Amino acid sequence: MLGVHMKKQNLKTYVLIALIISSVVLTGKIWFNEKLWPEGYNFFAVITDNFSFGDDDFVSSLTKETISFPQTLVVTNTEKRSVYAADSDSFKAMVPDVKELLRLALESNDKTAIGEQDWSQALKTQSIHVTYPVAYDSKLFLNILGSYKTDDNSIPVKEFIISSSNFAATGADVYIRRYDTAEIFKTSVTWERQRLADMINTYALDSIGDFSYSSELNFDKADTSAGAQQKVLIESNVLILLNQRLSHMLEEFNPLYHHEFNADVVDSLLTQFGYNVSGARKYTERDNSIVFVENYSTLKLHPNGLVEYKAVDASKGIDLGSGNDFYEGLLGCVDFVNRMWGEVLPSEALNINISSDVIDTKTNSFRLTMDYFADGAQVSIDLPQSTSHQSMNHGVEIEVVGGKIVLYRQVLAYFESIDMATNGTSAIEALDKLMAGSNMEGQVIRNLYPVYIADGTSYRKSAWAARTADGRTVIIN
Amino acid sequence: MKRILTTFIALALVALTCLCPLAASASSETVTNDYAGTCSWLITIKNPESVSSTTSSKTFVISAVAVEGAMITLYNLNPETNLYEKIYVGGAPLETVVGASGLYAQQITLKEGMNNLMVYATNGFDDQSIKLDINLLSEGFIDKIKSFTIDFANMF
Repeated sequence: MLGVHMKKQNLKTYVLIALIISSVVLTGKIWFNEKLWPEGYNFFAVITDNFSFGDDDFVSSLTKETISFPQTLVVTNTEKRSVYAADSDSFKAMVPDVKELLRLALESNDKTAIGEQDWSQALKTQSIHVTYPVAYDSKLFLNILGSYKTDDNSIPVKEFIISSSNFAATGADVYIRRYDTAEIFKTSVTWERQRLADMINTYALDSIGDFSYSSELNFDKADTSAGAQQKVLIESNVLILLNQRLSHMLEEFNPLYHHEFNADVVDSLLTQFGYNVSGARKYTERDNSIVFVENYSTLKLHPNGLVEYKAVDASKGIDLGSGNDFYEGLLGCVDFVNRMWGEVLPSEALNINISSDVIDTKTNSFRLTMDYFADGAQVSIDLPQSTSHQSMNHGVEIEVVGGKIVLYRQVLAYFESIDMATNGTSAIEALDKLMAGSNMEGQVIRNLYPVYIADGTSYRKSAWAARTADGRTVIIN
Repeated sequence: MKRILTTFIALALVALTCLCPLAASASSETVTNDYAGTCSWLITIKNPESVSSTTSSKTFVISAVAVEGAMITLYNLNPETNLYEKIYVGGAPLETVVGASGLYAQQITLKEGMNNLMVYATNGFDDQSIKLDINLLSEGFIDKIKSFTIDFANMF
């Protein structure tokens, strides 16, 4: 009888211990789980954020520093020429000197107007051709480069040549092309000439014949003879890849939706846009997209990865804290995109850059687009219009009115290079396809560049895109 | 029946004999020095800008615009035979069929001194040939020019 009583007591003790342990574990979960606390009040979650116990693998990067990076550097040394994009170590090694040379050139008050012939000649000799993804107002561009020198003669700029071919010069010559009128200015800057020559010698590695400028092939000039006539002119600075080249395919990942919405990503988005994570009103549409509603805005999340924020009134948007300053507004947008990515996908690098010209800097109301890049090429986004959203042709679209974000759209996606390779086409083969597939006769090609396009699956293959002088962009598939 | 067959074979032979020169012209290994072709509208050379030119770069890109579908072949003059011979690189001839853009560009490596080249275009019915003389300056000559420039710069 006593033995039975003892067993009963032991069982009670075990049950009690189990209950105490489970209560401690559950209490800990409540304390440390952000989802169960109103935003801003989770002391313990804040502590874990500030004193991260795991590996800090936040690799997101869209900053003032990255928007100051050129899109390509073409290094030419008479017989040799190589092209570098932002993803290579050589590019990163050259960028500090390149940016410093551009800063010195733009700060210079001694600029001389020169002709197209001089520009073309500079491209052929010992030089670095620097191209930015978009045109910038030169004053703003100087700010981005870290200079606060004010110059009343602000011009839109996108392309430069740094030349060391002038043997008589002690420094370096920098050529600046005005984006809107194509006027060219030359200035000499104080620089260690040998240092520049060494850089050009080191990084100009491939045969000059692999990449030719349109001006070197005279594809920028109309024919005057009676023979065969050129159907499409190509602007002088367009680089033409003469040979086919293997390129890797990409795999696309949608972090927002995979059979169902990712709850952590949704919560991060709600937090970023200032929504109450636990109390925001929401409803689901027929296409499975979720709409969150606050007093002055809506946040719509689509299964295809598209995130759309819209303020109902211009005065109620997300304040960038920039006042009337365009530059601060621009940096505010860059910071917003970067912070959001850091919240949503802290382990994935944000490979994105501005893709709309930043020329009109007189107002704090503007529209900005950004696009993803992978392996040095732009990833073309092409979401057609559906019953629940307008078409989307960029990675990010931001509309700022009075220093406040009133419209924000982003396709949440990241891309990884995979081992499958495709045999890419040469630039001339691409132009053949372009001319065969569309009525482009008489057009002027302003830019011809590689892009990644969707192939109907989660994979993306490389293709060419042509931008015409009238502003159209045509994907050549 | 035998007569019909004989006539058919004879006609086929005649047709083949007529077409042979055209087929040969598309892939002929040699072209005589004085051959100019049957037309002047198949191709326009864009680079070099003149039929006689000088360069300091060993790597040279010949560019042109041509009629869509034209086959363009590059030849090099053999001074011993006085015949233009088809250029092979890596065992393959430098032959390209022009696409819808009409654009043509071919990279070649020049030898030091005079390079006598011929650009030959044909659409299977008509053909056109253009002779190009490109002089590659010797490295010694270029170095002399460079040293003169530097010395000149140091004078001031």
